[in-house]
Amino acid sequence: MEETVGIVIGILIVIAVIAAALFFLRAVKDERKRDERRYDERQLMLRAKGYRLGFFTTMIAETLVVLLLEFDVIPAASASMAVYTALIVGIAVFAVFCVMRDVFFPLGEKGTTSLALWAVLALVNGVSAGIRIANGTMVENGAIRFMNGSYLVDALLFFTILVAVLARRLMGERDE
Amino acid sequence: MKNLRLKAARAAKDLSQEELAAKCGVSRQTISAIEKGDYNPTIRLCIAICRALDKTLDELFWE
Repeated sequence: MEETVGIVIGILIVIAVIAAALFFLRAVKDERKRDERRYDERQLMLRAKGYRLGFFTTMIAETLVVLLLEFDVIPAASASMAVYTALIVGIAVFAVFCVMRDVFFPLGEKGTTSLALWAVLALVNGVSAGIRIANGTMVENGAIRFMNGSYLVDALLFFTILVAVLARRLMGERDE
Repeated sequence: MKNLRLKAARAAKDLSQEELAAKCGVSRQTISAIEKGDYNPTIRLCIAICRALDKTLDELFWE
């Protein structure tokens, strides 16, 4: 069992290193094209709306987390995990809003590299979370610690953005 | 309110939304939103569209 887990983790590390190298190369290439990356007036207006929506969602989620911690609904050991989850919810709201309004990517960018990267990240984090759930280490003494739970939340974030982009692409094709 | 005059002018020039968007420096979705009446463009973009379609502001945007 331990050997299998080791092999899986090894494969995931190799995938992550390759993805990071590709991402780095892409980032260098993008940096050269930085001046070409821009948003039009409608995109800027809607992105500002998205930032507001994401910001207030985070604020409301963080307030809820504080209240739930205060009344011991969430165990204190899960505090950092809860705060992190609230932050990720805000980011997810911003990202999905922007994707659905076609303002996530700058002009002329299809986002194919980003899609591939998110797929890899969702997979790596998802498998890491799955292993922890299977091993029974996700919940320790009734609490989900950041070191374990963050894999699950990250996987859900990347998966959500990935699904939103793919869904929007399908809707956009019909629209054209 | 839909901007059918813009759509007609674009079709008369045999331009797709993508092509008109490229000429005006905006996204295809922005042109689509203007045609559907979902987005009210700034005067700067109106002028860019008029130039791309050889039309006046009155012809495309004045009611």
